[in-house]
Amino acid sequence: MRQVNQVKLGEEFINKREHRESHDRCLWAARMRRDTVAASIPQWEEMRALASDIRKHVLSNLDQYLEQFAKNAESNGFHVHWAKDADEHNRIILDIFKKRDVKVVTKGKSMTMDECGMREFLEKEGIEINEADLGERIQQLDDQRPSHIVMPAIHKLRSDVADIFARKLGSDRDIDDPHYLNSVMRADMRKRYVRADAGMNGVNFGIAETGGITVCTNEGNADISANLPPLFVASMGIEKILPRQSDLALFIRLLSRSALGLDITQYTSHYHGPRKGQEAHIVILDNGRSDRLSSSDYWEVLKCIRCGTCMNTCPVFRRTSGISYDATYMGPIGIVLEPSYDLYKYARLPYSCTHCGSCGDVCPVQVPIPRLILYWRDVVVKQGYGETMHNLEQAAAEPILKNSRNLMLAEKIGLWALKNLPKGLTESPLLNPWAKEHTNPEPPKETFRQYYNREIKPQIDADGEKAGENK
Amino acid sequence: MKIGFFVPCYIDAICPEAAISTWKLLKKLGLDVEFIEGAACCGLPEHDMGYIEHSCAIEKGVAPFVADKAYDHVVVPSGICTGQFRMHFECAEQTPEVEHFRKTVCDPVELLHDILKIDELPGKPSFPHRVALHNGCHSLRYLHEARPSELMIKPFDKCADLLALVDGIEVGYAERRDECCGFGGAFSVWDAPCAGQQGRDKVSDYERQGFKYVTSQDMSCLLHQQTVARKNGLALQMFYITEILNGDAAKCAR
Amino acid sequence: MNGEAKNEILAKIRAGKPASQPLPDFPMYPYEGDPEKGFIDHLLGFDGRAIKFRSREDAVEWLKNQPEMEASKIIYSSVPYIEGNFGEDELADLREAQKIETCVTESEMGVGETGSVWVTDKSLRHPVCALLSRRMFVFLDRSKLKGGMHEAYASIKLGDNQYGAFYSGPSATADIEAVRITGAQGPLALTVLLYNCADAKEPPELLISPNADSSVWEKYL
Repeated sequence: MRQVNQVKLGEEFINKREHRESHDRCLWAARMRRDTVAASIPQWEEMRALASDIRKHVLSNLDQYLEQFAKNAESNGFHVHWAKDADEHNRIILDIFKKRDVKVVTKGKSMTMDECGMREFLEKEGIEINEADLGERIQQLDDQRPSHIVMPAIHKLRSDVADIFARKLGSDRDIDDPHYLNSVMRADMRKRYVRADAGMNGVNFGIAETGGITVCTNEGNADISANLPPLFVASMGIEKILPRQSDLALFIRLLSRSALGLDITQYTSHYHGPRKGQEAHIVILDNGRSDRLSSSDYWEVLKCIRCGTCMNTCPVFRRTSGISYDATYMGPIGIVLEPSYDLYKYARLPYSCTHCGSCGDVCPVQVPIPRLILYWRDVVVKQGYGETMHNLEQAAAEPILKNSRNLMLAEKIGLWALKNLPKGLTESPLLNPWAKEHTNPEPPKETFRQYYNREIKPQIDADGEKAGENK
Repeated sequence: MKIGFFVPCYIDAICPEAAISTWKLLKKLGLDVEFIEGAACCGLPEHDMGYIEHSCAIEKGVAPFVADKAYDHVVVPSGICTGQFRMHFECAEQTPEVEHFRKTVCDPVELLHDILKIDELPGKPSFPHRVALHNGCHSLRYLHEARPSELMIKPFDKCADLLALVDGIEVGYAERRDECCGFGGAFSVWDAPCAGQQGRDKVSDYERQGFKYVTSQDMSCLLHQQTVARKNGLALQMFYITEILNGDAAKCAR
Repeated sequence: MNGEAKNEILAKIRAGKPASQPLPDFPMYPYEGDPEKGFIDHLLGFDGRAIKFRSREDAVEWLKNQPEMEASKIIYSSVPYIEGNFGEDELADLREAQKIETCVTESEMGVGETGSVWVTDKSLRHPVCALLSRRMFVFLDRSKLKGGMHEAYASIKLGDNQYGAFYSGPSATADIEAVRITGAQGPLALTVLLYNCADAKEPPELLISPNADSSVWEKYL
């Protein structure tokens, strides 16, 4: 199996200057808007801590809350299903669709469905799935996975979208005004909504107390998908539960402000059962979550509410784009989630991080992402998935770094080489990977130890002798 | 006050002026400073990459030298190494000496700002220039030496407070004031394309703001920024914070 | 249903979950601004529009004279005091709702902190009519304005409504180069008729965000 090389894929994006600059600018702007709206709320940090505590409470009592949620949801008229893994999830939904002879579906954004590869699965079964979120639709038409969990096509330029829409929807290739492209999407989707036999959506929160689900979106597509077709299916990870209706206020206040720097999503919608004459299902998905919950090092990752703010702030993500992670989840949260699905495939991801710590401070539910990234590096090495180059370097460095005499010797050799070898050699990126992006540092006249031995030590020794004589 | 002076590996070899200025400043402040000659490395390079086995060996090598109750504080002129000792030095046996060490180890900014609470600098240093202050990510988010821009708490900036004691200085920031510069230890080699891009973005931010000088409490960031700047033909001069606080920077500012 | 998977998942959770942590209570953080000002500012920030009226009758009178209410338009109304021309007969097939040009409804609550109006399957009767319409007009009694989200959630009972939603301005997207576009897949415009405002101007003043440029989408749609 293939290992994902985020560095190489990231470099490809870095080299697409216009794309990189646009991507970085858009996401940094989201981060700045987030700062502004967060600053407008006096209790922001208190709210983050509370949200974290509530999530911890839910996770540490998850079995009870899930039962409560399912019971209440069923009495609201939802059909509730449980799926241990992606395969079960997809089969449950296929069964529902087969029973109702569903041929066309409009689908809102859902990370759990993405995680299960559900669209591809259903398409193979001959069901037409129309992504109804603009960004998601662009990615579907381009046959590429989303690059961001909230803004799926943010790595594309408007000209890319104009090209895709021209090819797939027959629009005018020469107009790349986003307003025009939006109108193309709107007109096309309107035709599809009325053909749909079923609508699907993800879930932002499931409320145990009321047995309802909350879905937060901006375009209106998710609400149309839920309210128009005679059949509705929502998919929800087991961790998405909140205990009480009143908790929603806190989380709604944090979610969109963190995600996009907006005070709320345009549509913050709550469903408690099917509408009259409709059939509505909720599929509750585990897919490794209960394993994650049982890891004392790692369970807090389940606090995540999928706002994507860690991506917006991550300096690596902004320059390399979500495409370079080649995964369902990308950026900081992807780095800590994906290895739990497939350690070998994503063994390099935990190294796509500078340890700046910004993701941890920006996270509205205080997922300790920086600590979890270190945790995964530890696991990667212990499981024998460390890069050969790293293994060699680290093994070679240990004897030098654990003993000051060895260190001095290594410094001597290194500095000699820096001063005396031709630059063509020491600054060859082939021999010295540092030299790809940096010059070598100017070698100092002397190390601190040399300075100390020349300048300070004789003085101390002399003082010592004097003190001895005086005794 | 008895100070143990730990000089991190990369400071010793590549940025000795950071250690020299710090040493001199601590002496001028009348502290009883002792260079911990036998200590080599904090273990960060290995720990950071997940090689706990190796970092453990390094920790155990350095512990006997630094964990000494005779030192009121061990001062480490490097934010990342200070953070490593404080947060991750868990492999060496947690003796009372090690516990004392981890509680009292600090970087020069913490020593001057939080422990000595100085309100003037010895020798009345001056640095009559505009300088960009780069709060290194570890110092910012793990040592809490300034408010990270993500956190909605009362603003503070310990480096800026100390620099304000220098005559004639004007302290400013990059437009993206605390975005990571892309050093990240082995990251700068392992993911050179991204580290290079982050570095270029950072130094061109300084350029746009018209800065000629940059200072930081973390020399590792500056080493990266300086050499990226040079690779890209930018003439920025970078100083470890004590080089300015001790008046040494003024002499070599071009 | 598939009880086996349910039991297996729950058993795994029980076996592995961390030690129980307490559920914190938290205060109803109050909204510190003026609810009406906050409501209008935020609504305009989401490219919604607002008009203040002294009374509901004034608002009805104003609305009836708008071009969107001309007899040639397809109008859906969920309120008794405005007559639509698209009712239950036309909606026997809900997909017909696509034809609706103007949707008139009443909100049960507005939120100062976000500029949102609370609508339900009861107030909208057919939510899809609001979602598929081109323009929405929402009546809102000024006395039903709440300050913050905590207060808002405390004054509703979610379980009472099959569908309940906070609508904040018209539909929008920023999925292409983060360019904010008002009028994504749902309504292109949402105007709140805020009545029982003692300080309403005469004639009524349409409040629009200074940044709003509806001509842009009018060009294409």
